[in-house]
Amino acid sequence: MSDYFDNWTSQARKGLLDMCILRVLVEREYYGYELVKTLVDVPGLGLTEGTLYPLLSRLRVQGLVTTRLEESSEGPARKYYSLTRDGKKALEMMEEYMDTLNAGSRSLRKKGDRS
Amino acid sequence: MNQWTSAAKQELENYFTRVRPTLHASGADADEVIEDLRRHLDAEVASAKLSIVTEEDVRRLLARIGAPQPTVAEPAAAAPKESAPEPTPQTAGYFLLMIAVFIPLVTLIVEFTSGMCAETFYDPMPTIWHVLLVALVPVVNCFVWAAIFRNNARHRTLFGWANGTATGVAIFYSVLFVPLMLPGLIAIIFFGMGLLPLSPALSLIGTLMLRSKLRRMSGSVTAGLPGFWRGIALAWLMLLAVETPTIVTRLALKKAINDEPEQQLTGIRWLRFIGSEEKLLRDCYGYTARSQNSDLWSWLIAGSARPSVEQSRTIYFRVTGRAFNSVPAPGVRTGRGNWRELDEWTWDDDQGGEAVGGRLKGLFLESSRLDTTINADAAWSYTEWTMEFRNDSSRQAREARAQILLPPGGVVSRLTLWVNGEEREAAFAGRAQTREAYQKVAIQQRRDPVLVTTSGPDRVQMQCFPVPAGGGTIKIRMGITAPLNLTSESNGIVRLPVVLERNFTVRKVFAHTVWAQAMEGLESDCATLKLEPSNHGQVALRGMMEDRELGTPRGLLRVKRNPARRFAWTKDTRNPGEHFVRQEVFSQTATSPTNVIFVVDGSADMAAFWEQISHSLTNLPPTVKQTFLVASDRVLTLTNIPQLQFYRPVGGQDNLPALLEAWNLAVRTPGSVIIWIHGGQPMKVTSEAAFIQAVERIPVRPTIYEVQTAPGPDRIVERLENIRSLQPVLREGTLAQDLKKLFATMQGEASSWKFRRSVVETEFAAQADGAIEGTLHIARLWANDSIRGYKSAKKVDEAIKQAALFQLVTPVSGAVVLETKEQFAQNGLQPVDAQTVPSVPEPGVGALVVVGLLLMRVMRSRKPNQITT
Repeated sequence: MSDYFDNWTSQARKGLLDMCILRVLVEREYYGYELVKTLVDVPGLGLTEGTLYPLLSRLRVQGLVTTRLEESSEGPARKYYSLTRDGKKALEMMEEYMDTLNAGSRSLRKKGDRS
Repeated sequence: MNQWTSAAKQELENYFTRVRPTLHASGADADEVIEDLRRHLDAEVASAKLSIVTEEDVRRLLARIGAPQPTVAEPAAAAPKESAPEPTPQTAGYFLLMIAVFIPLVTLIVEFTSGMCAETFYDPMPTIWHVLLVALVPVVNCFVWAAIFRNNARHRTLFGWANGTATGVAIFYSVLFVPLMLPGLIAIIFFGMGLLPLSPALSLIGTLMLRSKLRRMSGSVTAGLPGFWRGIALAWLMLLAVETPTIVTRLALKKAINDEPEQQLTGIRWLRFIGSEEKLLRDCYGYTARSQNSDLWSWLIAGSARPSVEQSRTIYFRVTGRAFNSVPAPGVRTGRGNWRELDEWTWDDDQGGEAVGGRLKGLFLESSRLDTTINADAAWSYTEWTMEFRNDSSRQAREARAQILLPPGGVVSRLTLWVNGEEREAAFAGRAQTREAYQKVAIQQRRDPVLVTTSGPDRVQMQCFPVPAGGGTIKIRMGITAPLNLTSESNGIVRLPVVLERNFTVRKVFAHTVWAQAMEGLESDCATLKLEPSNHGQVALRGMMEDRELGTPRGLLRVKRNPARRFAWTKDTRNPGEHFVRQEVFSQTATSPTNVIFVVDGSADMAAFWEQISHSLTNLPPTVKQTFLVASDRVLTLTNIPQLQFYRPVGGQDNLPALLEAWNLAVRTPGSVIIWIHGGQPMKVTSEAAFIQAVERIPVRPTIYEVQTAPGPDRIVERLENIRSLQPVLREGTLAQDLKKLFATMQGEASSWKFRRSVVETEFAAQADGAIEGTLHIARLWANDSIRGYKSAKKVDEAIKQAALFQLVTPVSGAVVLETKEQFAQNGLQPVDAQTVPSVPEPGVGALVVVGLLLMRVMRSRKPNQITT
């Protein structure tokens, strides 16, 4: 049963990762290390640095985020990520969909509770 | 600072090698992720303050950050098909940037700013649309290169189309530049330069390479890149659109110069319908033969069959109905950057020749002054036209040329050139001799001469050279003696001279200063001319006359005269011995014709007169047989007037075939006359030989009344100078009014007034019948008549001698002013004595003697001025 649950959470997480990244970036731009640290600390997301970078790269290729390099006095150059217009639009759609999904899920739970 | 051991580096690289395929499959940019991971590890190392990074540290850090896992991506990317090629990260190097963006961009800028290719070979960018299409290639390539460089396939579809379009443009220009590629390669090998001709081919290669990379960009390997063939088709459609005027014009021109008349006509009709007038105009100025346009179409369509300059000018007339030099010369597209001066440059093929030729840029009529004195009772006028030309071009000295219509029956009797502020009078001699002298001095020695020769009935050609560059001017004066045109025994008309054709520009707002003097009853329809008192109780009209009014009925000077004054006389002071010239005014009444053949010019500029013509023709009595011939693409014979109203004038029509047909009809029916109503025909389309032969071989010649609707050059009239049957009708009012008057005169309802001049041996005989004493102008007019008589009798030497004696420009003689005495002497010419030339106002003979004596006295008291050499 534990394997099944692990597999299920893994599948659920994968779908949510893009949305979480976009959610963080909608506030402001983050540089890679900072973004990774922020997301890694999100409970339940189970994200590692190694997982995040390919995701960020794919989002950039898909045109949802954009990047820029900036020299840093504290170490290596920082790569800043920010949302594109398409990224913002995608986030809105994702959140709308999640709201609908959650509402549906809640109504099912309530129905189950009543029975 | 930290230091990585070799083992640590190796461990990290091994890790990257292992995860790279996973990263590819995830749809991420593997190189980018690897760089991000490196950056992250650096930050971790810095955060942990490790001074030496070992293999173990790398393993530990990698374990902590976790190996990248395949992420959920698009189905295609997540599960690539077996048959699909492995997507590889694409790199866009700087070489590609160089050939696909930098070289075409530099080529575009160089060509656009300097016009180097356009000047030397042909213009690859004749319109702004061509420039934009060419610019599309480096711009699109730049975007595509940047997308590949950043591995950003966000606008992949758009870039696919744009790249296809750029490819289409690059293919077109690569083909266009094929002839220059080999010379370009040779130039690179031997001189290290010549890259620009190779630019289209290089950009084509670059564009295709970029497309290949764009297609293979990660995440797109299984999907084809759209828009290649359709992009090329789009580019060619756009090129076709911008080249259509050229293509159609070239196709039609090829037909228009075909030997087959039917093909010619088809070509002309195509050109009228859809041809590019601008391109036709360029052909008229042959200098742009190499710089017409991108001209791939010329090679493909026309081959070597391209019209000559003369053919082009004729075609331009047949298509538009206008003379090519009646509109400003086309701009020189090649005049850009260092070649900017070319924009004011026009190659003057006609310099020193007998044609007026094309408009020269920068050459203007700076000022124009007309002074006229009229002796209404003696029925003559003398007009001096002083013109100053200005050349604003920065380098080229120019020759100003014009064909001038003189007052009817007029003759040039004075020509003056200002040299260093001093007036120089002309030498009058044989036509060929004066032209030869002019060409020697003007063209070879490039000094200051002016030449006037006849160029048809009542027409002269004036040419002067050089009008110096950089705002330099040249000033000339032409004196014209003319008989008064009598509309009745008590009314006369003076038509001032007018420029029919010119190679200089008259500014849009330009007026001639006019002053005219007569004893009494002087008036004009030109409202800006005001009457004022003049010397010796005479009156004068003075004011500014707009250029468009000159030569029209509004510009006529009308004068009253004493109807009792039928005779005038003067002493012939030029021929040896005692001779007197006597002039008689007499009326003539025509016999009503039984057959009138109308020849109506069907050219486009006649459209404005068509209704007047149709309406006027109804004024003829039905007893007179009428035939209507319309000079159209084919001669149209109309049997009634309503048919005429359905005809739509178009293009420029050759009137000679219709005239010949009319002549043939007229000679077969006794009592016929021809009324030829026409606009200007500035180009010779067919030979006049058949018509002249038909006229010469008939003993009884019908009269041809020639009615020109508006002043303009007419090559037919010029060539019919010796045809006495041709009688020009002086335009006094609207066309309808003048036609009505002509019909009345023709039918004997009104008289026409003519002159008869003869030589008598005694003063008593000259003064008979109350003749008034005139001036030498009467003798000049008599001499002009006699010269034509000599010419008809093939006594050319006598004719030239008479012309030189009376200082007249006639068909056998010309007038030329040279700069120095030596030049006159070298050419066997003798300038006339300044005391013998006419002037305004013309002094009487007695006064002339007094003035002459006074001048001689003044000259004796001074050191003689040497003419500058």
